[in-house]
Amino acid sequence: MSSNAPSFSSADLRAALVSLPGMAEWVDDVGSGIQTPDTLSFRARYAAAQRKLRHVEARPLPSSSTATAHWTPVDWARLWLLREGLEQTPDSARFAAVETVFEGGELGEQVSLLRSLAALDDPERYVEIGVSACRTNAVPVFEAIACENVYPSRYFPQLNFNQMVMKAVFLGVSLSRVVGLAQRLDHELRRMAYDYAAERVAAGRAVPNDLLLLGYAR
Amino acid sequence: MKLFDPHIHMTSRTTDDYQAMADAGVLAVVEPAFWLGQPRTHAGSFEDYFLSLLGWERFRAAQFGIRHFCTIGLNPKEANNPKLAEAVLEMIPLYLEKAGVVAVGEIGYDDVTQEEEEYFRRQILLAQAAELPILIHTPHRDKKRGTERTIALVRDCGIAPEMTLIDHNNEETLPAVLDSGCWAGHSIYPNSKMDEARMVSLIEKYGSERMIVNSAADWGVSDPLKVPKTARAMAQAGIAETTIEKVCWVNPVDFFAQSGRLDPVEVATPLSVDQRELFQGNSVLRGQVPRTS
Repeated sequence: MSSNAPSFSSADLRAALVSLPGMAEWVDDVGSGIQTPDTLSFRARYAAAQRKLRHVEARPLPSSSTATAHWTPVDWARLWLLREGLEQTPDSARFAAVETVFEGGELGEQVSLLRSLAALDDPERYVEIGVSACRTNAVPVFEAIACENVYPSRYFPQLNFNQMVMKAVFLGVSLSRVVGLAQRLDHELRRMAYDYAAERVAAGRAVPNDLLLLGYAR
Repeated sequence: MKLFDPHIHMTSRTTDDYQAMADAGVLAVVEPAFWLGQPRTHAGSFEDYFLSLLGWERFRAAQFGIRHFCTIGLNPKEANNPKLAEAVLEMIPLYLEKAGVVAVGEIGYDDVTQEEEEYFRRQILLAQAAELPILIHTPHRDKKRGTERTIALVRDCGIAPEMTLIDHNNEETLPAVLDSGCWAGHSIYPNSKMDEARMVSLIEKYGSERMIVNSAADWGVSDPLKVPKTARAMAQAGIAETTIEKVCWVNPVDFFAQSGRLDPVEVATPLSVDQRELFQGNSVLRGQVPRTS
């Protein structure tokens, strides 16, 4: 098993899902005939999961280092759906399929997708999607990739990781929520933090406390 | 005093804003092509956006007596998707031929990636071929470094500094921009970027040569009246009226007149308002009595 493989199998995930009250019926309903993610059929189910499952009570599910306690039942259901759909997808078409789900997603779908990125097979192949997601100014979508998510610290190139961290400072998103920050903090990011602090001082404005987490000393 | 807002995203503003701007003396705007807050996913989305800048938005502005010009370009935030970027670059030369276009922009760096640099460079070349000035967006993150890279690229491409407007300056970036001979734009925002008081200080320190102010008002928290408010702040600080007029009217007019598509005499002439006009059958009115002047 490669170090990039998800820590739980799809069978385990399905078993955990059906243990949630209200979820079993939906899983049975969609379970047969899941198509590849770039089909209308898949995308409709992915989208509809929100209104069908929003009342399912959240409970701890088998967690791994790639998932955290803030995932909703809808997120879990969508992860399962996506992994099943990708099983149907030829290897060479998997990136495009996930990209279609991301680009075609409304806010909630994008949030689910970004949370689940590290739990997909061969997660590093989707790095362009993770990086592209950081370009949004819609804060919940940005938070879905940047916060409580191992994906950026594990798979982002350094330039993109650094830009994500600086954007978090700009958006007022707390850096304490960026997983793996201490491990990825490099000289360049320290330099960017220092320059930004200097810019704020020159403007007569307060220096954000979070810059301290990037090595800036008052 | 005549006022010009040379960087404002009117597609995201309401007619209340147009009315307030007109009342405050804004006679002309330049609306740069930019992104919409989230990345576009089809080349056609860019095309329809360009068409709206040249069509409905120009009409909407005219209904309030405001002359509307635009810039056309692939912005840096959407320059990292090569498939889309290539398709957009292909359509730009055609759109640069259309009436109302006064520059290539907004171009520049966002994250300072190789892809961004490629499309930044190629659009500078397109501008040179079309003999148009360029409007450059400087990044909000790592701004000083991004601006240094911008100045270096502009030099490398050989486009004339007087045809280059580097925007969103602050205290850290302005000295180098002025030294380079390029024009320096400043976006006056309510809570971030630059404000009126700091702008007054910059004018007092550096003078008015090649200095430009704008509101960069968009779909975020911003104020389409920042040019009139900055003019007022300068007046209250005792800055001479000729200086204020230079920064808030003469400079942007002179810069964009270099396109050959904006006539300084014509732009200073009030536009007659006729709200009975329709654009492709559509009116800006929703039951109001049409204004004419």
